[in-house]
Amino acid sequence: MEQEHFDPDFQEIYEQYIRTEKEESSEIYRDMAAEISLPKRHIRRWWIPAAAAVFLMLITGTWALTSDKSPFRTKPKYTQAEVRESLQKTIRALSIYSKTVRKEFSQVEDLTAMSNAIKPSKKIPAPVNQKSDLNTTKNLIP
Amino acid sequence: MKKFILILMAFLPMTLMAQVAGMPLANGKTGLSELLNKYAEEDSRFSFFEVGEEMFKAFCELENADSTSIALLKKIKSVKMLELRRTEEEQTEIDGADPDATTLDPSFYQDITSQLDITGYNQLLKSRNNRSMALLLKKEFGPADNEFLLITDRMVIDIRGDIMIKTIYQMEEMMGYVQQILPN
Repeated sequence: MEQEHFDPDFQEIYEQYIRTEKEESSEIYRDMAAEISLPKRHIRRWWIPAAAAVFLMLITGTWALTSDKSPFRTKPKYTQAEVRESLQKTIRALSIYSKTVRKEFSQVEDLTAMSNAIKPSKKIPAPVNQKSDLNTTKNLIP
Repeated sequence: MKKFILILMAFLPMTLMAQVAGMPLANGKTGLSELLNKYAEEDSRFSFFEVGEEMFKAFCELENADSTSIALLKKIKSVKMLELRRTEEEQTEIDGADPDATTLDPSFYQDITSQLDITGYNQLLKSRNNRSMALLLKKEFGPADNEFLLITDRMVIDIRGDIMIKTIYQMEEMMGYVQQILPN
Protein backbone atom coordinates (compact mmCIF):
# COMPACT_ATOMS: atom_id res chain seq x y z
CA MET A 1 0.00 0.00 0.00
CA GLU A 2 1.30 3.33 -1.00
CA GLN A 3 2.12 5.68 1.88
CA GLU A 4 1.95 9.44 1.79
CA HIS A 5 5.08 11.26 2.89
CA PHE A 6 4.74 14.65 4.52
CA ASP A 7 7.23 17.34 5.17
CA PRO A 8 8.36 16.89 8.84
CA ASP A 9 7.49 20.50 9.65
CA PHE A 10 4.07 20.12 8.18
CA GLN A 11 3.68 16.83 10.02
CA GLU A 12 4.28 18.56 13.33
CA ILE A 13 1.86 21.38 12.51
CA TYR A 14 -0.73 18.87 11.47
CA GLU A 15 -0.40 16.85 14.69
CA GLN A 16 -0.57 20.03 16.75
CA TYR A 17 -3.78 20.95 14.92
CA ILE A 18 -5.28 17.52 15.60
CA ARG A 19 -4.44 17.75 19.33
CA THR A 20 -5.95 21.22 19.58
CA GLU A 21 -9.08 20.14 17.74
CA LYS A 22 -9.50 17.14 20.02
CA GLU A 23 -9.09 19.23 23.15
CA GLU A 24 -11.54 21.84 21.90
CA SER A 25 -14.04 19.19 20.89
CA SER A 26 -13.84 17.40 24.22
CA GLU A 27 -14.22 20.74 26.02
CA ILE A 28 -17.27 21.57 23.93
CA TYR A 29 -18.74 18.14 24.62
CA ARG A 30 -18.13 18.55 28.35
CA ASP A 31 -19.89 21.91 28.30
CA MET A 32 -22.76 20.47 26.34
CA ALA A 33 -23.03 17.51 28.70
CA ALA A 34 -22.97 19.83 31.67
CA GLU A 35 -25.68 22.01 30.12
CA ILE A 36 -27.83 19.01 29.41
CA SER A 37 -27.38 17.24 32.77
CA LEU A 38 -27.64 20.32 35.03
CA PRO A 39 -31.42 20.82 34.79
CA LYS A 40 -32.02 17.09 35.32
CA ARG A 41 -29.89 17.07 38.42
CA HIS A 42 -31.68 20.21 39.63
CA ILE A 43 -35.10 18.59 39.30
CA ARG A 44 -34.01 15.45 41.08
CA ARG A 45 -32.43 17.21 44.01
CA TRP A 46 -34.78 20.09 44.69
CA TRP A 47 -38.04 20.04 42.84
CA ILE A 48 -39.31 16.63 43.85
CA PRO A 49 -38.81 17.02 47.63
CA ALA A 50 -40.10 20.58 47.45
CA ALA A 51 -43.18 19.49 45.52
CA ALA A 52 -43.73 16.63 47.95
CA ALA A 53 -43.41 19.02 50.90
CA VAL A 54 -45.89 21.46 49.37
CA PHE A 55 -48.29 18.60 48.65
CA LEU A 56 -48.04 17.36 52.24
CA MET A 57 -48.52 20.86 53.58
CA LEU A 58 -51.63 21.27 51.46
CA ILE A 59 -53.09 18.03 52.80
CA THR A 60 -52.12 18.86 56.40
CA GLY A 61 -53.46 22.37 56.08
CA THR A 62 -56.76 21.19 54.62
CA TRP A 63 -57.09 18.66 57.43
CA ALA A 64 -56.18 21.24 60.08
CA LEU A 65 -58.77 23.72 58.89
CA THR A 66 -61.62 21.36 58.14
CA SER A 67 -61.36 18.18 60.21
CA ASP A 68 -63.53 17.71 63.25
CA LYS A 69 -60.56 16.28 65.10
CA SER A 70 -58.25 19.18 64.34
CA PRO A 71 -57.37 21.46 67.25
CA PHE A 72 -56.78 24.32 64.79
CA ARG A 73 -60.31 24.36 63.45
CA THR A 74 -61.77 27.73 64.27
CA LYS A 75 -65.37 27.05 63.33
CA PRO A 76 -67.45 25.53 66.16
CA LYS A 77 -67.70 21.82 65.58
CA TYR A 78 -71.36 21.58 66.37
CA THR A 79 -74.15 24.07 66.72
CA GLN A 80 -76.13 24.19 69.95
CA ALA A 81 -79.10 22.70 68.11
CA GLU A 82 -76.97 19.73 67.02
CA VAL A 83 -75.70 19.22 70.56
CA ARG A 84 -79.21 19.40 71.89
CA GLU A 85 -80.58 16.91 69.37
CA SER A 86 -77.70 14.48 69.92
CA LEU A 87 -78.04 14.60 73.67
CA GLN A 88 -81.77 14.11 73.51
CA LYS A 89 -81.21 11.01 71.42
CA THR A 90 -78.54 9.84 73.87
CA ILE A 91 -80.88 10.41 76.79
CA ARG A 92 -83.56 8.39 75.07
CA ALA A 93 -81.13 5.56 74.29
CA LEU A 94 -79.77 5.49 77.84
CA SER A 95 -83.27 5.56 79.24
CA ILE A 96 -84.48 2.66 77.10
CA TYR A 97 -81.27 0.76 77.74
CA SER A 98 -81.48 1.25 81.48
CA LYS A 99 -85.15 0.30 81.70
CA THR A 100 -84.69 -2.81 79.55
CA VAL A 101 -81.63 -4.02 81.44
CA ARG A 102 -83.28 -3.40 84.80
CA LYS A 103 -86.38 -5.27 83.69
CA GLU A 104 -84.46 -8.21 82.29
CA PHE A 105 -82.17 -8.44 85.31
CA SER A 106 -85.15 -8.33 87.64
CA GLN A 107 -86.50 -11.40 85.87
CA VAL A 108 -83.16 -13.11 86.33
CA GLU A 109 -83.24 -12.25 90.02
CA ASP A 110 -86.65 -13.89 90.24
CA LEU A 111 -85.23 -16.99 88.61
CA THR A 112 -82.37 -17.03 91.10
CA ALA A 113 -84.86 -16.79 93.93
CA MET A 114 -86.78 -19.68 92.42
CA SER A 115 -83.69 -21.81 92.05
CA ASN A 116 -82.74 -21.09 95.66
CA ALA A 117 -86.21 -22.06 96.78
CA ILE A 118 -85.95 -25.49 95.22
CA LYS A 119 -82.49 -26.36 96.48
CA PRO A 120 -82.42 -30.10 97.13
CA SER A 121 -80.89 -29.64 100.56
CA LYS A 122 -83.88 -27.63 101.78
CA LYS A 123 -87.00 -29.05 100.18
CA ILE A 124 -86.47 -32.30 98.36
CA PRO A 125 -85.44 -35.35 100.36
CA ALA A 126 -82.52 -36.97 98.63
CA PRO A 127 -82.77 -40.59 97.58
CA VAL A 128 -80.08 -42.70 99.19
CA ASN A 129 -78.43 -43.76 95.93
CA GLN A 130 -78.01 -40.15 94.73
CA LYS A 131 -76.83 -38.66 97.99
CA SER A 132 -73.22 -38.29 96.97
CA ASP A 133 -74.22 -36.45 93.73
CA LEU A 134 -76.40 -34.05 95.66
CA ASN A 135 -73.62 -33.23 98.05
CA THR A 136 -71.43 -32.35 95.10
CA THR A 137 -74.16 -30.09 93.68
CA LYS A 138 -74.66 -28.48 97.06
CA ASN A 139 -71.03 -27.58 97.22
CA LEU A 140 -71.25 -25.83 93.89
CA ILE A 141 -74.14 -23.60 94.95
CA PRO A 142 -72.74 -20.46 96.58
CA MET B 1 -42.78 2.57 34.75
CA LYS B 2 -41.14 2.92 38.14
CA LYS B 3 -43.39 5.88 38.98
CA PHE B 4 -46.45 3.99 37.83
CA ILE B 5 -45.60 1.08 40.15
CA LEU B 6 -45.07 3.46 43.06
CA ILE B 7 -48.44 5.14 42.46
CA LEU B 8 -50.08 1.75 42.14
CA MET B 9 -48.52 0.62 45.42
CA ALA B 10 -49.90 3.70 47.14
CA PHE B 11 -53.44 3.34 45.83
CA LEU B 12 -53.83 -0.42 45.95
CA PRO B 13 -54.08 -0.74 49.77
CA MET B 14 -56.62 2.08 49.89
CA THR B 15 -58.74 0.43 47.22
CA LEU B 16 -58.60 -2.89 49.01
CA MET B 17 -59.47 -1.31 52.36
CA ALA B 18 -62.45 0.45 50.83
CA GLN B 19 -63.72 -2.82 49.44
CA VAL B 20 -63.10 -4.80 52.62
CA ALA B 21 -64.90 -2.24 54.80
CA GLY B 22 -68.31 -3.24 53.57
CA MET B 23 -67.67 -6.95 53.30
CA PRO B 24 -68.58 -9.68 55.76
CA LEU B 25 -65.73 -10.95 57.93
CA ALA B 26 -63.88 -14.18 57.31
CA ASN B 27 -66.24 -16.06 59.64
CA GLY B 28 -69.21 -14.93 57.56
CA LYS B 29 -70.35 -12.52 60.28
CA THR B 30 -70.56 -8.75 60.10
CA GLY B 31 -69.13 -6.10 62.41
CA LEU B 32 -71.55 -4.05 64.51
CA SER B 33 -71.16 -0.72 62.71
CA GLU B 34 -71.50 -2.27 59.26
CA LEU B 35 -74.52 -4.25 60.34
CA LEU B 36 -76.32 -1.27 61.88
CA ASN B 37 -75.54 0.89 58.84
CA LYS B 38 -76.84 -1.82 56.56
CA TYR B 39 -80.20 -1.90 58.33
CA ALA B 40 -80.43 1.89 58.45
CA GLU B 41 -79.63 2.31 54.76
CA GLU B 42 -81.54 -0.58 53.28
CA ASP B 43 -84.75 -0.56 55.30
CA SER B 44 -86.77 2.60 55.87
CA ARG B 45 -88.56 1.04 58.85
CA PHE B 46 -85.39 1.48 60.88
CA SER B 47 -84.06 4.63 62.44
CA PHE B 48 -80.41 4.87 63.40
CA PHE B 49 -78.26 7.37 65.18
CA GLU B 50 -74.72 7.48 66.41
CA VAL B 51 -73.36 10.08 68.80
CA GLY B 52 -69.59 10.26 69.02
CA GLU B 53 -67.12 11.41 71.63
CA GLU B 54 -66.72 14.81 69.96
CA MET B 55 -70.37 15.63 70.50
CA PHE B 56 -70.11 14.88 74.19
CA LYS B 57 -67.03 17.08 74.35
CA ALA B 58 -68.98 19.82 72.61
CA PHE B 59 -71.58 19.62 75.36
CA CYS B 60 -68.84 19.90 77.97
CA GLU B 61 -67.74 23.15 76.33
CA LEU B 62 -71.16 24.74 76.74
CA GLU B 63 -71.32 27.61 79.22
CA ASN B 64 -74.17 26.23 81.29
CA ALA B 65 -72.81 22.69 81.61
CA ASP B 66 -72.14 21.83 85.24
CA SER B 67 -69.23 19.78 86.55
CA THR B 68 -71.32 16.69 87.38
CA SER B 69 -72.77 16.48 83.89
CA ILE B 70 -69.36 17.08 82.36
CA ALA B 71 -67.80 14.32 84.45
CA LEU B 72 -70.60 12.00 83.40
CA LEU B 73 -70.52 12.75 79.70
CA LYS B 74 -66.75 12.64 79.51
CA LYS B 75 -66.99 8.93 80.28
CA ILE B 76 -69.07 8.19 77.18
CA LYS B 77 -67.23 7.54 73.94
CA SER B 78 -70.14 6.67 71.70
CA VAL B 79 -73.80 5.78 71.72
CA LYS B 80 -75.39 3.98 68.80
CA MET B 81 -79.00 3.00 68.48
CA LEU B 82 -80.88 1.17 65.77
CA GLU B 83 -84.62 0.99 66.25
CA LEU B 84 -87.41 -0.66 64.38
CA ARG B 85 -90.07 2.02 64.24
CA ARG B 86 -93.65 1.08 64.85
CA THR B 87 -96.20 2.00 62.23
CA GLU B 88 -99.22 4.03 63.33
CA GLU B 89 -101.38 0.93 63.02
CA GLU B 90 -99.04 -1.08 65.22
CA GLN B 91 -98.93 1.69 67.78
CA THR B 92 -102.72 1.97 67.85
CA GLU B 93 -103.01 -1.77 68.32
CA ILE B 94 -100.50 -1.73 71.15
CA ASP B 95 -102.13 1.25 72.87
CA GLY B 96 -105.51 -0.45 72.88
CA ALA B 97 -104.34 -3.96 73.66
CA ASP B 98 -103.58 -5.75 76.87
CA PRO B 99 -99.78 -5.66 77.38
CA ASP B 100 -99.78 -9.35 78.27
CA ALA B 101 -101.58 -10.21 75.07
CA THR B 102 -99.12 -8.52 72.70
CA THR B 103 -97.25 -10.90 70.48
CA LEU B 104 -93.51 -10.92 70.11
CA ASP B 105 -91.85 -10.90 66.69
CA PRO B 106 -88.40 -12.47 67.07
CA SER B 107 -87.31 -11.98 63.44
CA PHE B 108 -85.26 -8.82 64.00
CA TYR B 109 -83.52 -10.26 67.07
CA GLN B 110 -82.76 -13.49 65.23
CA ASP B 111 -81.46 -11.66 62.15
CA ILE B 112 -79.14 -9.48 64.18
CA THR B 113 -77.79 -12.24 66.40
CA SER B 114 -77.22 -14.55 63.44
CA GLN B 115 -75.28 -11.94 61.45
CA LEU B 116 -73.37 -10.10 64.16
CA ASP B 117 -69.76 -11.00 64.83
CA ILE B 118 -69.68 -11.44 68.60
CA THR B 119 -66.01 -12.34 68.82
CA GLY B 120 -64.57 -10.75 71.95
CA TYR B 121 -67.96 -10.13 73.56
CA ASN B 122 -68.99 -11.67 76.87
CA GLN B 123 -72.61 -12.54 77.36
CA LEU B 124 -73.97 -10.89 80.49
CA LEU B 125 -77.62 -11.66 80.05
CA LYS B 126 -79.88 -13.52 77.71
CA SER B 127 -83.58 -13.67 78.34
CA ARG B 128 -86.66 -14.58 76.41
CA ASN B 129 -90.29 -14.87 77.33
CA ASN B 130 -93.58 -14.29 75.55
CA ARG B 131 -93.34 -10.51 76.01
CA SER B 132 -89.68 -9.70 75.50
CA MET B 133 -86.33 -10.98 74.45
CA ALA B 134 -82.97 -9.46 75.21
CA LEU B 135 -79.29 -10.16 74.86
CA LEU B 136 -76.75 -8.08 76.76
CA LEU B 137 -73.13 -8.34 75.71
CA LYS B 138 -70.00 -6.71 77.02
CA LYS B 139 -66.66 -6.17 75.33
CA GLU B 140 -63.57 -4.82 77.05
CA PHE B 141 -61.24 -2.72 74.95
CA GLY B 142 -59.07 -1.64 77.88
CA PRO B 143 -59.13 -1.00 81.62
CA ALA B 144 -61.35 2.07 81.19
CA ASP B 145 -62.98 1.30 77.88
CA ASN B 146 -65.98 -1.03 77.83
CA GLU B 147 -68.74 -1.57 75.37
CA PHE B 148 -72.24 -2.68 76.33
CA LEU B 149 -74.41 -3.99 73.56
CA LEU B 150 -78.10 -4.61 74.09
CA ILE B 151 -80.14 -6.42 71.47
CA THR B 152 -83.90 -6.71 71.85
CA ASP B 153 -86.74 -7.65 69.54
CA ARG B 154 -87.02 -4.06 68.27
CA MET B 155 -83.69 -2.35 68.82
CA VAL B 156 -79.95 -2.48 69.24
CA ILE B 157 -78.28 -0.09 71.67
CA ASP B 158 -74.52 0.13 71.89
CA ILE B 159 -72.79 2.25 74.53
CA ARG B 160 -69.02 2.54 74.76
CA GLY B 161 -66.80 4.36 77.22
CA ASP B 162 -65.41 4.28 80.72
CA ILE B 163 -68.65 2.77 81.99
CA MET B 164 -70.21 -0.09 83.90
CA ILE B 165 -73.85 -1.13 84.08
CA LYS B 166 -74.18 0.78 87.32
CA THR B 167 -72.76 3.88 85.62
CA ILE B 168 -75.42 3.64 82.93
CA TYR B 169 -78.13 3.58 85.59
CA GLN B 170 -76.60 6.71 87.11
CA MET B 171 -76.35 8.31 83.70
CA GLU B 172 -80.00 7.67 83.01
CA GLU B 173 -80.90 9.36 86.27
CA MET B 174 -78.58 12.28 85.58
CA MET B 175 -79.80 12.75 82.04
CA GLY B 176 -83.09 14.17 83.29
CA TYR B 177 -81.10 16.99 84.79
CA VAL B 178 -78.88 17.33 81.72
CA GLN B 179 -81.98 17.75 79.59
CA GLN B 180 -83.04 20.71 81.69
CA ILE B 181 -79.81 22.57 81.09
CA LEU B 182 -79.63 21.85 77.37
CA PRO B 183 -79.40 24.98 75.21
CA ASN B 184 -82.66 26.07 73.59
